[in-house]
Amino acid sequence: MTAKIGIRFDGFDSVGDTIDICKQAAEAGVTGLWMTEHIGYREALTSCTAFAMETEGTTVYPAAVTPYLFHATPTAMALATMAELFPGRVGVSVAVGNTLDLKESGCAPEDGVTAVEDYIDDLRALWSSEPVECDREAYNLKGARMAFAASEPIPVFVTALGSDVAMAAGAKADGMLMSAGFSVAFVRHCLEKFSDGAAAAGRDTGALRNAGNIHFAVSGDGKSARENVRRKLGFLFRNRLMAENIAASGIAVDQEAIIEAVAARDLDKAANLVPDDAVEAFGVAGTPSECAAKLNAYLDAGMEEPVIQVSGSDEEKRLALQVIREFTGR
Amino acid sequence: MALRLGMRFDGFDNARETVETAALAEEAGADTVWMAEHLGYREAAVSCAAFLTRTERVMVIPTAVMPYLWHPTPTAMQIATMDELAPGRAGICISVGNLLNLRESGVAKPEKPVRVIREYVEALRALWSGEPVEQDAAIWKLDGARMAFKAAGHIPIFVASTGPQVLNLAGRIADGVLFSGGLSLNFTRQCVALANEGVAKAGRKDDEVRKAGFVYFSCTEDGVTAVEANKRKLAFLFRNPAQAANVQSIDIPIDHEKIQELVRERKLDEAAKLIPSEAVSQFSVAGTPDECRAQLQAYIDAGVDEPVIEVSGSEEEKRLALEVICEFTGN
Repeated sequence: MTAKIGIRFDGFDSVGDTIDICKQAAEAGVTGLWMTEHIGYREALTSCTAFAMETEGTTVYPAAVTPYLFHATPTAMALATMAELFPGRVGVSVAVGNTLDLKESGCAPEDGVTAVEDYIDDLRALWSSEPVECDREAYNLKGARMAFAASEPIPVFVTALGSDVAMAAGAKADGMLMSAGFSVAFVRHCLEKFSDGAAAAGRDTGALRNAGNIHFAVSGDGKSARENVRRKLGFLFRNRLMAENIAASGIAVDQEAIIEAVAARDLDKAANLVPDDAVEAFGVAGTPSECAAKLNAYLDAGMEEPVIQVSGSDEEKRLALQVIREFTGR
Repeated sequence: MALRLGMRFDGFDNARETVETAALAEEAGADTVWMAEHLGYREAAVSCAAFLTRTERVMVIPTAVMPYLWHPTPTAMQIATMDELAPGRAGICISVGNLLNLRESGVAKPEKPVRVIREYVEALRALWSGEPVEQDAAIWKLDGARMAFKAAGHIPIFVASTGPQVLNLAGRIADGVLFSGGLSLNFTRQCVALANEGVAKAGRKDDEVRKAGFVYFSCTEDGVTAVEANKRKLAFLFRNPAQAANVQSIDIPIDHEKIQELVRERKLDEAAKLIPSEAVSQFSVAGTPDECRAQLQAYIDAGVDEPVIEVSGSEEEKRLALEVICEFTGN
């Protein structure tokens, strides 16, 4: 059986370069194009529209769309417009968002899990084209309604950074997108929580989907790949919600120092605070054969769609696409 | 300022068809594509991203983004992403928005609209600079937010309004002003003058600020059906009591109150009959292709340096509209 594999973008690279990778990845058999809504970087809704325009057979997912900065009405409109443009090829993943980024834009979430659950309800209600009434932490709706409906349902994933959100995702969402930087053991743990949440809500777990972002880099000698992933982890660990994943691994990571470094935009310093064993545990980095083995470990843990990055030098990208082709049989 | 011709979409039509029509309009010579941000309809930013990948030359402008629903940080990211996707071809138009629609999305009353528009323009420009932004604005706060990539070039910001204070503000700080559709030629002249007052107050030159205007447009071979089509559009527009000054700005008497009453009763056909045929060309462009060209010129003579028309209706009407664009732009 051919494994399903997606690729993700973090918005750090130019949108033109990113589209080029989308095209190559689609040819290599990738079906999921996930674009994280990192505040301050390339925006995911517009980027995903361009990805879908420039590829065939892919499904695009703006990811980590937060109710605190993206009001439900325009977000429902944007996703429904995309779904009309690309029927059956659009999904979304919603999340509380990064607390530091939200603070910089004037938002201080009070009850993030509830906000995300409500956001899912409100997006679905708006897509029904019925008038929607609700009072929420981040916005209110007083009869807002859509004038057109997407021809096919838009699957809503929840981006989970820990077990609480995994439970909530199981109870409410169509799927769970696990955050990048999870160890294999923590993936297994979150999938259990996801199933628990679904079961508690009386839902059929078989109908739900899961995917997982993986910090991925491949190189001929494996060394530069590990440095690449170290840098990604340095940025990722600025998020306090990663504390559960880090603690579960037993690896000593000075997360406070990383948060401070990223806040000062010193990404080199943040990367240097990520130890070697953390790179090994929280990412997939190495030679092609090392990467393939590590990806299989995530699949064995129950992950349905590993979502990797195709980044780094041209040679590293070529090798990443080679790993993808091996997975998809192209 | 160089004359441009734009076309606009209202989000009422299927998004795929709209993308193809935008490509046809570019072929016909249109310079800009404006996509209305009508709440509940096709969303403008993602539509414009699709236009950019399907076209090669036109500038695209989501219109009008409402600060009350679109936080400046993601909006700055969206427009900068589009500018990087197609350098020099992304703009933005902002406005207070439709009061009824805002209320439905939880904004009971748009507070301090002039201040909010000003702060939104300032926030977008500051974010696009790539520097950290501190702003204690009326309805949001930026506490060090910053963009990690810079826009490829200067992104033009338009402000849409027909109100004196916002027009004045637009003249002072914006790159352009957009007048809404259905304005009479006389009322258009007044709006141009109000914007130019702001221009003068800021020590700018008139031609530093583009004056774009949505123009209700309908073109048919016989011209008669085009006039009738625009009567309906105007009657629907005039349901709004705030249109009083515009309605009264021409010498032809129109029973505005009766039109409002009929539209409230959903009697749009009867309301349309209250628009005299000779008034249609005062508020819009409607007729044969020759008549449409002449009427478009009248808006330009009134001070609009970028008329923005619709390409809609039957296939025949769309073809004629594209022909008018072709002839107008010399393509």
